[in-house]
Amino acid sequence: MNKGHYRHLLRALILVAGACLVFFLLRAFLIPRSFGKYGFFRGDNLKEQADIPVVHGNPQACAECHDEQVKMIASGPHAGVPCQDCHAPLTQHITEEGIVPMPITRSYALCARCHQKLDARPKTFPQIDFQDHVAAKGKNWESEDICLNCHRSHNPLKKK
Amino acid sequence: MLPYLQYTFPNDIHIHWSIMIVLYPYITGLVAGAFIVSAFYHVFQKKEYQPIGRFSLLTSLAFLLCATIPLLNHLGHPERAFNIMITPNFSSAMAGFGILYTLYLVILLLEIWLVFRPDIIFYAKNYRGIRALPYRVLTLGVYDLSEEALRADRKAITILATLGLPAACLLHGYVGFLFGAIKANPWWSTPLMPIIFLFSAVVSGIALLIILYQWLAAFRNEEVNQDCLRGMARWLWYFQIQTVTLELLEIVTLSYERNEEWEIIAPLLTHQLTFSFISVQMVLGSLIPFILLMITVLMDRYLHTKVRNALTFFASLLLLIQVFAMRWNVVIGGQMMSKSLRGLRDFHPEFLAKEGVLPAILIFALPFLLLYLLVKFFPPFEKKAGQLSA
Repeated sequence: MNKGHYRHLLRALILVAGACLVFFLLRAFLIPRSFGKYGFFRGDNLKEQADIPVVHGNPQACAECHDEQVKMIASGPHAGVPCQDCHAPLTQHITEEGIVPMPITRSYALCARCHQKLDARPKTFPQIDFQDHVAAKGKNWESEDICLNCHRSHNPLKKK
Repeated sequence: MLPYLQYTFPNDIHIHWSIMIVLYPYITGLVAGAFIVSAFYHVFQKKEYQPIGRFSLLTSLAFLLCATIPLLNHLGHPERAFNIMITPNFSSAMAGFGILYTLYLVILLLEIWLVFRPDIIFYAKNYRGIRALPYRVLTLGVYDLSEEALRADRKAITILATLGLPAACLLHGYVGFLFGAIKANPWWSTPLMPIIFLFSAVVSGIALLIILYQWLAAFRNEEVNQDCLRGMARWLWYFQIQTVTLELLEIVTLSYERNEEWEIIAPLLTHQLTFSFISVQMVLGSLIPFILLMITVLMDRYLHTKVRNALTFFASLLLLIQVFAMRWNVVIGGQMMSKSLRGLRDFHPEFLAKEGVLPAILIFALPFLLLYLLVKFFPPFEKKAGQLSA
């Protein structure tokens, strides 16, 4: 067979090879310089992560000033809930300028995050249908801090 | 609402892999299925599939070009997709997809180019001006249609189709592997998953081609080739039986083993997925087409052409729904169990959201639009130019 009849196949192969070459050239430009420095990731990313300002404090740090509240939480069913889950992160309370009042959310929505009845939660976990629960007690649903009218957030089983 | 709220228990209430992730294996399956049908003609030399041999390749390409769109929409940072191509981590399953996808795309493009080369040359010679330009570029400057050149083409097509067949199987088997390899989810974690995905892909591919072929024949006012349709109906029935058997075997095994995961999978099937699994996937999508195809295959000689056409058309339509329901039940169903396996949750798809029903419909319409353009550009049923390649 005459080699001339393969010309189109040869040209197609050259095109594919050319595309591969372009890809590898582009790849050489696109790979970040620090990639692979420490492992299969961009080395500079470590510094970028380390430079992100710390927001949350150590859970034990709260006890340094609020020992009484920390002990109360530890003795109740909220023992596993860290302070900064409901209060703002420590750095919003202890700032460069000194101590500022801790922002506190008293909204029922905060309680609902854990205690609104959901099928995905284990049956043994305390869950309620908020609307029914509030209606059953004859309370005002519009009030944001409705839960705190009856429950203590630091030890919720102790009624107020 | 609560900007500093972080670690509440359990935040496991959202289904993150949405309809987009249902659509992704569905479209990829259609790619693989359509290519496997084209292989009946181009690899296995089954002459009865000649009428759809070229069209099935175009279908595969149209869907392949859209296969990643649902994923990119879901990710939200489409530019990051190139990272798996630029720095592929070979211990990552996703990196495998990038490589397989590219490999399969190259094989498919080359095969389509070779299959349509006589047409390309025909149009390059007969069209004038700007209309001829893309065809002239695609000839790569070679207008050789001698018997030797065409023989070389046929040889190359057979090699490419033979390579493309395992590539298509791997491409879709891999999608099943992605789910099958998630060991924390008992609804997904089974080595059967890639095989189930692959078989259902073939079902959806054949079903789509039966529908499009009949539809295009009606549109072009041509007779549907009954040998071709009969052959596809037989394969469709065969692959449907295999697929449904595998799907049921997986559940029977889970049920018979009565491991701890059955405690959550049983209510998942009987409560959360009652409609989509039992009604749609098993009854509407499996039992009814099984009966329709059984009639088509076993009572073939008694059937009038129109009856055969109608039976295969409706069976195919139902099987397309079945395969979509299967993808839905795997992807959404697997996330309906909370990660602690202690409860179930609901999924209510939005309509207009980024990953809602409307974007899903638009994304699914895209390959059909692309196929329309491809069919316009490379008419697969055109006798005048097509005869040159025969």
